[in-house]
Amino acid sequence: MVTTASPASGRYLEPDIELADRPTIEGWQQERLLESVERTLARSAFHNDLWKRAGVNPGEIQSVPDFTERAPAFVQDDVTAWAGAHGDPFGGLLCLEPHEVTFIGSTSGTTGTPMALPQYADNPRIVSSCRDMWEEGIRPGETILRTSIVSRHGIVSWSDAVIERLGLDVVTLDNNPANAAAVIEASERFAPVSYNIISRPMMAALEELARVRGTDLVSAFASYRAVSFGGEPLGADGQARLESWFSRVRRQTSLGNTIAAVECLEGDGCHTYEDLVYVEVVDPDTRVAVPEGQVGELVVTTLRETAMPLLRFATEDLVRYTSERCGCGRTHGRIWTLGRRGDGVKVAAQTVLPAALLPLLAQLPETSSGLFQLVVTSDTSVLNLRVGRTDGRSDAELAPAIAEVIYDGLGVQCEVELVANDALVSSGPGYKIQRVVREVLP
Amino acid sequence: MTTEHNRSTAIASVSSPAGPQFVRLAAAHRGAVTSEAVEILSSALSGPEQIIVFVGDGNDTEQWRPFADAAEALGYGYTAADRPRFARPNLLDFFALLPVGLVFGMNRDIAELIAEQGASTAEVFPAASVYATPGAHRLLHDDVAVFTYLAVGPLVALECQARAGLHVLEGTCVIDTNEDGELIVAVGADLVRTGLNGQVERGICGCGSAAPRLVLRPGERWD
Repeated sequence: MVTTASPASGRYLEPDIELADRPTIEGWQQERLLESVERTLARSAFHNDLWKRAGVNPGEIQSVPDFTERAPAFVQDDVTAWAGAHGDPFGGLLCLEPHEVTFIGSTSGTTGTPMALPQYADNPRIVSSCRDMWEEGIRPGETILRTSIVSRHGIVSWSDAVIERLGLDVVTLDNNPANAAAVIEASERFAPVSYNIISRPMMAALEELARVRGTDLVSAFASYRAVSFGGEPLGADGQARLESWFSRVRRQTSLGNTIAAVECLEGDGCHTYEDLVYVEVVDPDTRVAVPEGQVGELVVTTLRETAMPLLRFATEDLVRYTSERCGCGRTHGRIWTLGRRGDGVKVAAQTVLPAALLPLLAQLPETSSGLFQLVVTSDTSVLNLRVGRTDGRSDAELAPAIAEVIYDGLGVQCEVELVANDALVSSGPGYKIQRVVREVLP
Repeated sequence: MTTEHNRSTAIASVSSPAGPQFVRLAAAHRGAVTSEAVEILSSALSGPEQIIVFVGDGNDTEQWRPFADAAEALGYGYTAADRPRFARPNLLDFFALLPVGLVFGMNRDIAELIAEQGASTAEVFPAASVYATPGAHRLLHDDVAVFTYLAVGPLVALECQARAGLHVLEGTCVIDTNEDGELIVAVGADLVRTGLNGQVERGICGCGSAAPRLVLRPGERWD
């Protein structure tokens, strides 16, 4: 393989790869993509069946353009259906022998049976996370605070491999707002330099704790050089809140269960390591590529994944993409995640996305935590909102105030159900809010 | 990748009956492939097609480490499930598709959650040996092979087949009692109050081990 990393130096862990010119990156992609197609179709029952049904012969794929024109795309529901029909928790995607898999993570199962996510030694997540942490300036011997979602990512496999490769000390806490006090205590006692990753429910819990105990969060978090946020759009209000506590905020997003895409210190889009994942941005309906810079659906193909390779996985994430060189010097693409396809809720004549509500609810102190759900019912004439709140005005006063800011911002009428922030968070996994709750079928 | 370093230091959070504490685990205390874990996996799992389920959350990962290291050394796979996973009824369908041979970390909260869903641990993990926290084993049905363990951040003691107390993992810790009879665990420079009463017994166990054994006072529980 062409990509042999030179020793880490300066800002980049693998400068030969992270700063490679575009023709070099595209050369790696072509080589690895053809290898991935051959290997995947030889071992993945799901992909084999998908390509047969699409009438595509692997031999037809001789280049990247052949691949993007002919290879069938698929969505999570296709894999879930396969898993159910064949009694296979890996959905026909596993390309290793079961005993070669070290850790089996799983998706949240929010919309169905959880999907198994196999992991193994030296997988691409380790590579990408090491690059991201190094670029953040984290160096051997330093301490980081890591919150984990063990069911999904595991911890004793890829995540610990990152910690150990970089020679870091680590404070590990469950990614749950119930640990807010422990986050503050660990920050003050062990002086971590990086917090990976914080969530909106945790932000709300920290704010509440600070209010009740009189804790100075700026002082408590003084040792950190950066905090990472991921899992959903942060919004300008969230960014401002985090920047009031931490010196730097790094957004990160997932490239469709493959690797994370993380902002560099420039804060100008999340980097896609295109030696590891081939990225397309397509029209969600036609699956034809949209011009660079326009919003479309993120479609990913793994280039170095051997356990669960994906060929044209349509993530349903709506993103904007650029291949322009970043201000940091990196040449790999960057994306901005704007929301999820299907998260749009039709109200009267328009579609409302959850991210549109964040700046509006931030205008009211009781709802500035941004914890809310769009509840889809049979009544599409109004926006049904379940909103988490802190102390302040009575429900009778607050509900119409929320309705007013929503109407002023979006021009839609809404029905508001108010609940305590804690109650809303505890209705889900703790580290995120299910933003759209469908009480009728879409 | 060109940057390789030795195993690093971990700082684990532990919420014992005596209150929340942090435990610093130097490299020497982390992840030694204990002979106990290797032996347990070798006897509990019928082959590499079976997997281990670690129960708990991100605060519990250091206690899983000896088994995870042993699993990797022996070629077994493992998964992890936290409370939100068990709270979803479809998780039982998920586990039904996995050949689970050993469950580590069963606690009172999860055992009750399974029961609330009208299921039993034996139904969810029909072929598994289950390692449970002190007190949680009483919530599990008799048709499950249940063993008790103690973790204070790291795993520090394990029950064997002889069920004559929990073998103290001396490579990780020293366990003693204070003047009130409370068990105190020393891990490196940290002393962890357990809030549990019991005693440490010496002598050869029925299983043949000469390791000290931790005998908890009846009724002691760590949820």
